[in-house]
Amino acid sequence: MQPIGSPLSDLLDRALTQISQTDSLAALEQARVQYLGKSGELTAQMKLLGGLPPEERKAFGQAVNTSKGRIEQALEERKGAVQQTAKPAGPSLDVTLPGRRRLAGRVHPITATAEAMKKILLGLGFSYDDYPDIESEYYNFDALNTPSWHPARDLHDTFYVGPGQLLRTHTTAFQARVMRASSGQTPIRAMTTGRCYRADDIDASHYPIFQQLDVFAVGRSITMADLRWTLTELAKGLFGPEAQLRFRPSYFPFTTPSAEVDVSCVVCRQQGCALCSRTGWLEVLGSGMMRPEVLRAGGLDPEKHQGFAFGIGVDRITMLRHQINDIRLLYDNEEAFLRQF
Amino acid sequence: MIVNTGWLLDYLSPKIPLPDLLTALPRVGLDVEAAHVLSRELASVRVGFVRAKRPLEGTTDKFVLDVEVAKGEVRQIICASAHPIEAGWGVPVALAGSELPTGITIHEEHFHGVLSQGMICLDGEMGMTAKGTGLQVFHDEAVLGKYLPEAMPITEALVHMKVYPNRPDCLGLIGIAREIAALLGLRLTLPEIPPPVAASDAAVPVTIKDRIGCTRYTCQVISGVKVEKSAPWMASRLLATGSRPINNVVDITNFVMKEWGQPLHAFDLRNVRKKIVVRRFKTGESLRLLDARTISAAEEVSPLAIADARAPMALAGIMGGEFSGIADQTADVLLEAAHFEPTNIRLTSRRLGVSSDSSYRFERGTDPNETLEAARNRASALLFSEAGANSAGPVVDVYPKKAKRAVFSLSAERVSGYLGIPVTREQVHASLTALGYACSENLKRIHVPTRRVDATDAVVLIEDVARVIGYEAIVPRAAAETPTSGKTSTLDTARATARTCLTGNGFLELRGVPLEPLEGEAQFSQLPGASVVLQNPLNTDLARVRRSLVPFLVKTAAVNARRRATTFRYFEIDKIFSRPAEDLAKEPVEHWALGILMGGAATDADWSTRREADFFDLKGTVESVLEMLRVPRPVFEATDIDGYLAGTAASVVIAGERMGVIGQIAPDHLASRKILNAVFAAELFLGKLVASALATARYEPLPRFPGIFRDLSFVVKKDVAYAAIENAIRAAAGPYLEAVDCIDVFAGKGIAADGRSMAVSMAFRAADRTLASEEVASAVDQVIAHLAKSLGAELRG
Repeated sequence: MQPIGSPLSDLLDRALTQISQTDSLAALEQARVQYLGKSGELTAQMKLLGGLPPEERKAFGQAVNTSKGRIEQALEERKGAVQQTAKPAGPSLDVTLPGRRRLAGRVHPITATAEAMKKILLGLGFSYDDYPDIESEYYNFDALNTPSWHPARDLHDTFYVGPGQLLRTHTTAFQARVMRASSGQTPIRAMTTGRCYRADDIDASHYPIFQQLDVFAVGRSITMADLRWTLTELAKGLFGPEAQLRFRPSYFPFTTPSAEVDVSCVVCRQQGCALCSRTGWLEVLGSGMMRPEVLRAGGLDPEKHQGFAFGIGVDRITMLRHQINDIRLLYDNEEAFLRQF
Repeated sequence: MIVNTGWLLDYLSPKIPLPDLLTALPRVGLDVEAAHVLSRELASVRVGFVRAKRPLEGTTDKFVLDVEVAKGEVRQIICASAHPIEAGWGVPVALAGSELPTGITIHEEHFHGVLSQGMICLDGEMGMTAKGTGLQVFHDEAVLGKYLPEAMPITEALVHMKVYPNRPDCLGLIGIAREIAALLGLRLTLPEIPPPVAASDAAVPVTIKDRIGCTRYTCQVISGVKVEKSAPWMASRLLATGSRPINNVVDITNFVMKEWGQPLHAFDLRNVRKKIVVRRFKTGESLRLLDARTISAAEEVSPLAIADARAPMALAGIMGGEFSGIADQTADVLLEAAHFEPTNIRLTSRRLGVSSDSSYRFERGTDPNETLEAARNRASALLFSEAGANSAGPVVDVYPKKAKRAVFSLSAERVSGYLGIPVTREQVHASLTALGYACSENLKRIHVPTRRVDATDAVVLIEDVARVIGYEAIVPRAAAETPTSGKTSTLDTARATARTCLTGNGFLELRGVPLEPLEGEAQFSQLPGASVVLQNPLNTDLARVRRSLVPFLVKTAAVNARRRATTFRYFEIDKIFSRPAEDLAKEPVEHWALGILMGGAATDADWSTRREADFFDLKGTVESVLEMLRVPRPVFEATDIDGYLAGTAASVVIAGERMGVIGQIAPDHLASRKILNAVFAAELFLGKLVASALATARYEPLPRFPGIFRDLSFVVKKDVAYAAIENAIRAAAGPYLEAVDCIDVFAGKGIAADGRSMAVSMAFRAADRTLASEEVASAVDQVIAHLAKSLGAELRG
């Protein structure tokens, strides 16, 4: 070791101080070259070695090597520190400028609502498939216990496109198709969703085209209590765990008993608001136990099988979920509307 | 159907408060469309005192009244003399601008040039039943100007009800009352029907020629009536529930129909020649109806008539003829109570476009037994008490085949197993009995009353039990049925994939309108054949089922362009339709399609490198979607489709099959819609794509040896397609070519006018070793030679 105040010791102090004050990789590199480079100061000290008396050479050599080691170590340590606080080269970046991008796309709220319901029902064991928009009178009406003379056909203003060919007035038309395809195997739990068409004039709550989701279950011991359980699960999944259901007697040609189902108002939580006309309840769907004629049309024996069915207006549920007050908004597809969901 | 609750309560005992009644109706299964509570809605009516009365000049039946409607405030009201009104009386006044619960709106009007500023309201006009003379009269000046509900107790409501088509027995108040009585445990109080005080032997013989159309025909001669205005209690009930009182005889038939749900008809006996024949219209016969329309025999199925010895007098079950009805001088009435087969009434009514309160009930099904008889007897009795009849002939009753009550057996176990809640035999028995079923103790024999035309099987009885027990008793419980796993289709999965891909790329999903106007036939459509056209469209805008998703995408771009949108990125997934040929017998075909539209700025937020989206932005999007759907690499082949700008459209072809089309929308479609940007669209057959999707991916070993990369730049003629170049490279490059990419295309300065320069990058790799650079060099030489020979490509510097 060289005594304090010796040239080597001064050089080391100076080098360490300089290194500790560098604030960039470039300055560090400059310091390395200054001390350890080919013609660096410490390198120069090493070159003195040959001119020393042999008895001093060993100690001096060791001292130079130790200094070299300490400088290298200091450079390395400082490098780490400098790297952490390194400033970028080039002009500074205004990170607050907007990112260059496309705005995120959105799924239409009707699709989102239908998919949300499908997801819950898939989890409850209902399988999904699509069925024709252009239906036969048979599947749309006759197979659903609504023969041509039936007064209930008055409830539907049907668009026809050819002899016996119509635009389905409800997705319920899928029932007999599904049952027939299953060739008598039960239980069946099935659902579909799609466009339905009725000759309604357009206003805030009517549109000649709308989307329905239809569901049914047939087996040997499917009950109305099961219907209620399924609908309760669906309502809770869709509207939250506090959603309540109310069943009211109703009429559909293809179900007996039939029930109109109301859900507790999603806005006011039954305190009474404009959406629910201050009743606390919102009418959301029609349901019931499938009529024997319908089971028979599907090739099942009503003595052995029973089932429930329900149909939901997807547009209406979408409007309720998002408190949309005019159905036309759903089909106008204005970006300002679509980007809200 | 409009129901006055005061009238309805006539048939229930004990009387229940209005709120209880209103909550009971939906629980019974009667859908309340609107409930007008009179005490609330009559707040627009106030008590005004008549200060002066003078005849309206030029009339014999109208008066001008000065009515003080508030202290010192006098209005002039013209009043027809439906009810006597005297100066000094306080009466209910509705001023111009108000609306009554019955739907009557009052306006300022001029009669013979004299202004009327309001209306004096009869009880019925306000929706109330009448207890006195049909007009509320006040003599205590203290109520002057008070609102009517403050001046007198009002406890009634007018309820607009939807009676479902399966329950025509509820198209009469007694039917509704019976349901409520069963549900709430009340007593049904039927009106008393005293037998006729004097009998005659006057009768008209009846023949039913059409026993299918008419199952029962009964009639009775009632003599000595005096046709005049109905008593206020009856007139007000009709007025309140939407029927105009006509005269006491006609009003009785209407009143009884509203009470029992059984339509009746009254003929003036003078017009009935000898007998009644129920038969079809004969060729050449015609009849002028009460509503002044004339109907006649039809070619296919003639309508059913009630005829006398010579000619039809009424369109059976639907409407009476003009000449045979009740006139002021009518003294003897032939009262008809019949049962007509519903389908025939319905079809006739549809075909002729004639309907009435009668046909509405008959076509849904009436009770040929007790209800028919009760209604006829009730009307007959009312003709005595309300129309001064003095004798009644025998009832002529032709009923060839009596309708029997259906009999069902229903165990409590079946009810429990259906509803999923425990129900006892006693509950079933009590519920059905309350609704009028005759049940054996063991429920093996349950007789259905014939008024219940809907009860065609035992499940209807289960519903009846459920209604009486209350639907709220059916608590949620999962069935003890084998579980199933919920599966979805590959198409459904593909839709979700496409949606995820496109929304991730910044596209908005649209929900289009699948019906469109007739113009622009087949534009943008790739579907052969004819369009599917509605035979009974609602209007010309929704007249055809769409054959392409693109028109709606363009329309939406226009909607948003008007809202100053400058970027358009939309997609829709829906079906498109066509018919293989014009022939309507050919079934239409449905295809699932994915429509994508892109135009305007390539990015929404871009403050530096503004660029308009072009064909290749959309093509890239399409390629991304196809990649996500795991279909084989598509080939794009130039094509021409109406609607796309010529020279910009391409078919998307996979394995030789056209999977869709992509192109630039012809500017004439955009200019008219005020879209200034270039807009591109693609339409893919999603269903076909799903069918061509690759099987589950199988792992391929990762490359272990380095690749060698070579770029080439050359000039070709402009009409040489890139695909041809790539194919030529692939053909000539030998076995180690791994990938080819186009990295630059340039035309302009330094390049011949008919040529373009193109740069490609090629990657070479062998799976089992590092390639020698000589091997690659020789492959590149072959490529250069082949490009030169087959495509005339000249290598650049």
